[in-house]
Amino acid sequence: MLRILRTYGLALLLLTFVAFPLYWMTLTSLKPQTEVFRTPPTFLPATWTLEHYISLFQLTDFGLLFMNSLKVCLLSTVMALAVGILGAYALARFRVRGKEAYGRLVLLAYMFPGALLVIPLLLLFRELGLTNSHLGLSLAYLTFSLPFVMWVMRDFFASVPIDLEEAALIDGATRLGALWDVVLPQAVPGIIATGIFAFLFAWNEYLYALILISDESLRTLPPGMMRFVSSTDTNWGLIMAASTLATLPMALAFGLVQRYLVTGMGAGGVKG
Amino acid sequence: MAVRSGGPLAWLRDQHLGVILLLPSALTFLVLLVFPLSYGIYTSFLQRHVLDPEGVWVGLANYVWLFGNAEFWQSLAISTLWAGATVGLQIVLGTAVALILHQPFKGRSLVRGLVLFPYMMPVVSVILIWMLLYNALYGVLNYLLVQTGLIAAPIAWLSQPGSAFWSVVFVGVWKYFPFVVVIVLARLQVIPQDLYEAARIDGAGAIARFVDITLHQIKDVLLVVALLRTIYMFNNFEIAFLLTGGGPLRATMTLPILVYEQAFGLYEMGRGSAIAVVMFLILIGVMSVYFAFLRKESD
Repeated sequence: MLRILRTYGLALLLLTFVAFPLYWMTLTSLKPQTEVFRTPPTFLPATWTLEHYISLFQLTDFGLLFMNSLKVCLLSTVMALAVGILGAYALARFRVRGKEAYGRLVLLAYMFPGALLVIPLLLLFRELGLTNSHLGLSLAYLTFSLPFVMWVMRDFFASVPIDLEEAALIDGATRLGALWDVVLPQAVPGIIATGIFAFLFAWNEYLYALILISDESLRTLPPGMMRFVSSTDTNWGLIMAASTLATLPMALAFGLVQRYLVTGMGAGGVKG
Repeated sequence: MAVRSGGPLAWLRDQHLGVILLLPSALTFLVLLVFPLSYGIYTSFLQRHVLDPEGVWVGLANYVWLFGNAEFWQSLAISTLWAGATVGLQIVLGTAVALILHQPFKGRSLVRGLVLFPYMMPVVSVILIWMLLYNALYGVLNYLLVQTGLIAAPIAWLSQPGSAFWSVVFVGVWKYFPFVVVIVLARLQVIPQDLYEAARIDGAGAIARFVDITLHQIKDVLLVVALLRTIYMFNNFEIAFLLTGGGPLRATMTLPILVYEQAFGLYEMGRGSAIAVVMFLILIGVMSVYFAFLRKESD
């Protein structure tokens, strides 16, 4: 009995630690501006309001920032999946000389410091006209999402039993035919989870977005949102509304595929 | 190998098709990683302004400048402390939380899901939330701490050198500890239960069971997670940069922020690259420990 009480007590403590900042974000976004600065603070809004969400779209460029982010992240995720799945399948199923070394290089690539790449990427992309370009930014995101996809999907393919592919090959399918008809349908949960992670990594990225895009009309969410903070007059209700909405894709992904997410995170983390 | 017939690519030997499938990714890595990396290393030997189309070869001058610069050594120390503190605390907190979430209780899967939120959230949202919580004038953190008598007067958490560093560390731990939870939880679930049964029959107490079985079983995973987290946190730019910009008085000036300051604040591409190259060499060192460990594991 004591043990159970202790478990619940600790779980509650944990919940407060994790959830209170999230609660405070949502709460602040729903308070009128005057109440945000009130002392003592209100732990439930005295007045509920959606004014910050409305002004976010009417008075700021949040909608544009959101759409720009969506575009860049979808583009980079699709590219990472298309290129990464082929490579991961080859690493899992083909005997290619030097593939172990290649697998290691992929992992090394995943851990590359962004600070190291951002300078040469800026200098090179400027030569190629890829700065101030959504394509350019999504290519920069491939530097971490492609290694991630390859690393996770290689393990995923390795865990799919090989018998079905062999049966398909004996029935006269080509290797590519077997990949398309037999392996990929089984890998859909893994692909979804991996894709969601690749998308969220890109969605959350800040440094490349800050450096590679300076045109206001092309700017994406993370650097765009930081502009809302001003040293003199910061509208925290508005900022918390933006923070809440920026978290929405993640919350949605969560609601849809939580169990896949945990699998994907485990696979991406430690497996070597 | 199965015998194949027909199909446009059937004539290819496995080896060839494998290479073809690897080609797109290899090309991408070549263009987006290998070439920029080489170019970054090359740039570290140049004096080059951001708008300068070529730059001037200065040999090791940027490195000489770097190693003679007190700010570099200070940042190296801050980065090391930042990585050490955030990783250490993440490991301790993450393991403790994993142990709690391993116990059965009502609503466990909900809590397990919610715990992942900080890790998956946009870093900018996290930063903005904590800026508001830490706010010296109307931050709820100060309000709660003053009310409960833990502090006498509100603290300007992010604008004093002493408190700023640990406030930034706290946010780093809050955001990234769930990663440790997931990995440790996965490992806890595959510890054979009969180990605990046997220990109980042998009369081992709760603490002895924890140390001899649980800790013994998860220690390899903890080591790997600690290495991966160290690499990640050492590289982390956003948390400190967005909360404090490296200040006050350079108290949170980690190496990535120093790179940023040189390259995009002072437009010294060469010096910025030299710092980044040194960071990279340090990380290669940590990575080789990781690979050595993996090799030992697979033997």
